Amino acid sequence: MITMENFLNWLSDHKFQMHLLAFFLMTLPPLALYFAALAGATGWIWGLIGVVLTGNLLAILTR
Amino acid sequence: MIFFLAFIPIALILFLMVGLRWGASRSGGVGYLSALFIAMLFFGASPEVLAYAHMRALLLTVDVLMIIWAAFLLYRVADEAGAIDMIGHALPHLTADSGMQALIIGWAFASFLQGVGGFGVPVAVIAPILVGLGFTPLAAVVIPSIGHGWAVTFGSLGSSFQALMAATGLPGEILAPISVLFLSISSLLVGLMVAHAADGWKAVRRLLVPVVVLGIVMGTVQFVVVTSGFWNIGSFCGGMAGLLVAYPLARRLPGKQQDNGGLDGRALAVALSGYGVLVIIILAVQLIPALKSFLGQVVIQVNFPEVSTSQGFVTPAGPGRNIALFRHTGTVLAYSSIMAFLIYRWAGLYRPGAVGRIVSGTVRRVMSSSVSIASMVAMAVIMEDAGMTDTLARGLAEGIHSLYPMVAPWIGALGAFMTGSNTNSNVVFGALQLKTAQLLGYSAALILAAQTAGAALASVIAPTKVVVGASTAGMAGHEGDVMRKLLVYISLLVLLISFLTIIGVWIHLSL
Repeated sequence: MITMENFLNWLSDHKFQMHLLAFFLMTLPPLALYFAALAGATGWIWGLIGVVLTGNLLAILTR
Repeated sequence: MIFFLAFIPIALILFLMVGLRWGASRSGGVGYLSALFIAMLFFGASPEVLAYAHMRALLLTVDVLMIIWAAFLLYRVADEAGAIDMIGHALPHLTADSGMQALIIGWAFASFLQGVGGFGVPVAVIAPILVGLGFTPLAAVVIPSIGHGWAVTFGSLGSSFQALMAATGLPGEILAPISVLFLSISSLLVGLMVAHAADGWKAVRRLLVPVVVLGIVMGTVQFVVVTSGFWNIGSFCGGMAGLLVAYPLARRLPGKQQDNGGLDGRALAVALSGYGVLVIIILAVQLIPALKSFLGQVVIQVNFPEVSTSQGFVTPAGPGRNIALFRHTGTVLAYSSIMAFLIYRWAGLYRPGAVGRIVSGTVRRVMSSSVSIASMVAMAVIMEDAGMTDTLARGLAEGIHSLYPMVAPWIGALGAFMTGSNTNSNVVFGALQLKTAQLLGYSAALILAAQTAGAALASVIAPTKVVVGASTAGMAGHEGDVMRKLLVYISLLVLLISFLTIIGVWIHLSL
């Protein structure tokens, strides 16, 4: 059965992979964010910040 | 009210790391999220402000991580060849005097290791060696912990100092002289403390001369190297000079055993050659103008337009952090790693599959700290661009005003304690300390020297580092004992920096 505890344990068991994924989610969007800001594309900016935010959430959940 | 809102991200990191013992990567994530939401909801940060802040943060992150990754790669290249073990095991042959062994291994060699590796390596490598020499596990962890603190800012091939420059935007020429002066002076007290931790006050009295000689030599070499512009090899050269001077000193204090065994000079020379290459390459890149300009042709530079929050805080237009791709310290370290690898392979020191183990060991070791650096740098830049750092600085300036020079090193120390590193502390508090110093009219170089010196000396007591050291010396589960023992020593060292800062302010005001 999938429970929150099981999910967190799974993340912890795959710590390196999760940190690698979190790192990419934090570091890949900023370049696109820069061009989105230059173009005034607010929708894109929120979406890309959401990706960075997800990377940080993943880092928080990986014990 | 607004001051406390701006303080929330820092307070959260402090609470999570110290109170709940979370790791830096998890706490950094919480710090980032809180900074993001507070910046949007209470400081009027628009999507554009946040977008540019993320790009600025990426440049700073790359700038710092290039050094961290390459420094650890060089360490793994040497470690896989057995060079670190070889150096560590050659040193005890010099003397049987336990206090002198503590000075050579726990101070000079620890500083050398901090110079080339860092990231908890000095304690992890030295604690088991000291246990093997008969030190108690507690002393084996405490001695190298105290011994390498003074070498942290200009150790790890300069990553902490690079972070200070990146976070404040000030050049090394302004920041380096006072920072290295503070740390070089503190090295003398560090030496006395190492002797005390090894064998109490009688060792302090017996070893006073070697401590003074080693302290002056290591401190002076680090000072001269750093102020000459080679800040990325300051601690490395200081530690190396200490090891060279330790040889004649140890001959004068051989201990009760007259025959301490022989040194395998050739093996030691091969082990050290990997780091010799590093010095040669760094000197070549810095001192040969043609090579310096050739390697500096490719520069990553991003220009940012002026942006402002709805509350009127303006971030002026200008370029972000410039990264000279092929002349960056991280790249120079990568060249050195390749050369060192070729030398060790030529000497037949690698077993089959070494390349795979070096690369995978490096990537696995640096990933967690890379995540924490990425999130904490993003947090710090968002706070900066949203005006949160400015609010904190104004609050501090109004609140503690004339006491600020005394408090500045403790802010750095607090940052290092909670984030586990001098680098992170400089990233989180560098801009804040700069702004506060400017508001109060103190010398920015002086206050930032206090920040990084306090952070360097206190980084050794961070829970993350203590856990690593304790586990390698068989003290797992007794980390509290190590921290209690270290707390007195480290508090005295940070207090010394406070007094040096006050003296600096007094000199600055009287000029």
